[in-house]
Amino acid sequence: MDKARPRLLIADDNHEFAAYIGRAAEGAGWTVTSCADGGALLDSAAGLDCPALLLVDIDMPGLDGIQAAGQLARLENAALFRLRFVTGGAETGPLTARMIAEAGSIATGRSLFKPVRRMELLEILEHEHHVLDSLAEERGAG
Amino acid sequence: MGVLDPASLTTCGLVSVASDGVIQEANAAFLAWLGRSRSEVVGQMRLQDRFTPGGRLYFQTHLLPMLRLNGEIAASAINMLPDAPESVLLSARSDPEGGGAAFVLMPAVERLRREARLTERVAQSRQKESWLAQIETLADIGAWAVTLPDMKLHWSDAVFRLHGLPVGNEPDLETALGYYADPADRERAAARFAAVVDQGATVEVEARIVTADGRLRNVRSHARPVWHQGRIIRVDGLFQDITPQREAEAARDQAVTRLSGMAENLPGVLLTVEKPARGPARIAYVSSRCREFWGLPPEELSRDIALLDRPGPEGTPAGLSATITAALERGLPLADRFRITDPAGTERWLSLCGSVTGAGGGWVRADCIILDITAEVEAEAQLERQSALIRHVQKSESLGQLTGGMAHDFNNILAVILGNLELLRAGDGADDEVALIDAALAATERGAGLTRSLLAFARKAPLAPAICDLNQIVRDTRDWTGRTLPAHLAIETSLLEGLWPVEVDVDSTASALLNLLVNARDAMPDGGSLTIETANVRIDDDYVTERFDEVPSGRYVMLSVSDTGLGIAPEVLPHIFVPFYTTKPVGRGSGLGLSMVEGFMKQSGGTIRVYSEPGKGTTFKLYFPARPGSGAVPAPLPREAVRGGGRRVLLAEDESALRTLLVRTLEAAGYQVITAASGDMAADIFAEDPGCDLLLTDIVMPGKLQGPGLARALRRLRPELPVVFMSGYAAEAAVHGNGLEPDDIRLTKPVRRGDLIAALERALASRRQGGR
Repeated sequence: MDKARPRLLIADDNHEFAAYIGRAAEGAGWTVTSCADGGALLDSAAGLDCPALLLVDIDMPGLDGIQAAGQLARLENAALFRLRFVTGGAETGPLTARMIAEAGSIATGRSLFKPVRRMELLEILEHEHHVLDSLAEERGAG
Repeated sequence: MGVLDPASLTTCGLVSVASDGVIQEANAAFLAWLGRSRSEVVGQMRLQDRFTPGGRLYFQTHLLPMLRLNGEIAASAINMLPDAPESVLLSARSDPEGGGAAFVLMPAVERLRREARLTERVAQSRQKESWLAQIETLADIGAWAVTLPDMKLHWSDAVFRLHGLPVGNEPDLETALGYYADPADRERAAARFAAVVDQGATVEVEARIVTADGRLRNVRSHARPVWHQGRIIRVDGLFQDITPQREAEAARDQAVTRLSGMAENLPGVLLTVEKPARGPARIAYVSSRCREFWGLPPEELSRDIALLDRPGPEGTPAGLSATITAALERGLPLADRFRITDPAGTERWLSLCGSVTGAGGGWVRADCIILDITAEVEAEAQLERQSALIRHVQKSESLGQLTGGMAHDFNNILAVILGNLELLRAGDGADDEVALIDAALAATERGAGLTRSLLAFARKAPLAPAICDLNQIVRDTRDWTGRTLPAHLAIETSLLEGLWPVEVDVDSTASALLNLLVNARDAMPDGGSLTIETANVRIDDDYVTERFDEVPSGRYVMLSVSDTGLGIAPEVLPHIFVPFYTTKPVGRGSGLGLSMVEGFMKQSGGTIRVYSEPGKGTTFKLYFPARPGSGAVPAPLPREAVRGGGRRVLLAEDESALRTLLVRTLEAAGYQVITAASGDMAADIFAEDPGCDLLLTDIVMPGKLQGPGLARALRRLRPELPVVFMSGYAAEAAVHGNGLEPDDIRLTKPVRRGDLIAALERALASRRQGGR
């Protein structure tokens, strides 16, 4: 596995937004997987074997962001995930989702509010890159 | 023979006969029967020849042998010949010496008549007996008698029945007395009976008896003496079962007690009003609880129906008597509500229900019940207020949901636009393309700002009020907003020590303060000073510059934010709390901030005031209700004695309502007031007649001359003229160096009456002291 390329899973039913995030992230050197909803996110996440950042929209059809947060915490490889929530709506959605995720021992970061500026996104990706690296080192040491 | 011979007068025939049956003598009645003269009869005829053949046979075979045997014949009927009464009763007695006999012949008609009379008498007496029996049965009355001196007791059938005994053998007197249930009654009855016998008294005894079949009955016994030739020969009495009467009386007493108990304990008043065909209505009955509503006992209230009309809260009669009188006249049922002030000064709602009935002879009567329904009416009003509030909340909520949903969708669209524009921007485009992209990006940012505000507006965070110190909220907010406020703003705080605690939602209060700080910042793009102030205030009727109708009188904690910025134009001022109203450039303001602050203040039971002077600055004042029981209550200002002493005040104020209010206040305090609606008008008045003692002026007014300019102009004519300025705007910095002298007093709106008068007095006094 290429240690230089961090992994990003983006879950959003707004395909154009997901495409924009994907392009920006790939430009910053990330390997990106795009999921159309919470169900697809769970499938992809279950198959992860290295630390990854999961960028999860709150309002999705089927399994929404908050429900997904609860189910991600039950996956065996949950310790690999870093979770960030994104929403176009009120703050309460991401707040609830973070509380659920952290109750399930998944590390979360500050949420993103749409529209997301590219600079802000790149700063977050850079920060998360460091976090994922140190996670990988801990695992390597452990 | 005397003059009157009975034999000649009787209607009976009297005849004497010899032993051979020949008539020897006959009276007139007999001769008249036969229609013969005496000579034709006496010595000529035999008596038996005057009988019918059957009668003659009966006479010879029965009556004559009986006469010979017994010497007499008792009245026997016999038929005579047709020229005499047909049937006679014949009685006879024989003369033992002469062998003859004397006969009496009585016409049978007489006998029949006597018999008929007898029969009638018997029938009458039977009828009376039957009536007596009926009376005895129906009235449960029996008769008794005790004959003297043998003391034998006689009972009528009813007395037996009342004692539960079979009709028959009367008991002796002692046994009869033994039926009384109580030994004391027995002695009493015996003593009374003795009084009848010994003193001829008429007595009555009422007691209870136990009947032979074990029932307990209430009885009454009368007794009176019967006199004969100066002696009491008998005691007659009546014996009556009065149990039904006693039971009915007891039931009636019980019913009366129950009804009066109801009338006393009913949470209201029972009222009966009567009215004759012509004449006034009057109170016939009112229950004693009327004291609670009218402060009068029933007997006094009943004197005049107009006493029912206690004044209502507006001093108008409650109209109870008029309503009742009208209902009596029209015969309509009563159902109405009235508001009265009771003797304790408490306002009460009364419900009046009643019906009108004819009472005969042209009289009508209204029977009413008056209930205190104050609590119900208040509950209704409360419910009405609550439903109004709920309607308002529902409206806001649905608006919030709509807004929130829209913002969410819009953000998603903006996110795609922004993202792709930025990707474009990161590419190697030509300079003119970059400029176009930047313009699109800026517009997208503005859209994002708008949706952010929409979301904030839609946020339905319920308030979580907690007791807190407003000063602490100010300090905390200042700390974390300090970084966001630009360096060229001087921030000053004037926080009152001993500020009363308030019960508010800390986050919302901080958010409201932040909103005001951001507005202040935006009002001062070129720098200035920003003042945050707190104070304890009392809102009551003493404010002369304005009314606080939207909040109840009481203690409030004031938080004000003042800037030295652009100010708000008077025509804009009324709109600043309207949602989505903004004066900021597109992209700068959402138009939601102040409407949210106002909504929050209302929700917190407080209010918000804004005072602004264009070009000088703006002050926002938030009033939070102080927590009850905290801090000492400052006594309301005493009504000062009139002390204006007729001094003349020139008043310049452009708001007419405020001007009227000030005139009323000043005149009440003994000043003469000359009014002007603007600075220019005030200057003209002064030029014409400079005889006023003081100038009281608003700082900002329409026209050329503002407050400070007006002061300068007048002082050119009279340098020692005392001036008092009024302004709603608080920042001290704004008034330096613009015509105000250090001695001038500046009042900050809202102005209390006491403060205003004190300021005028101070200004007048200082000028006199320093007067040259």
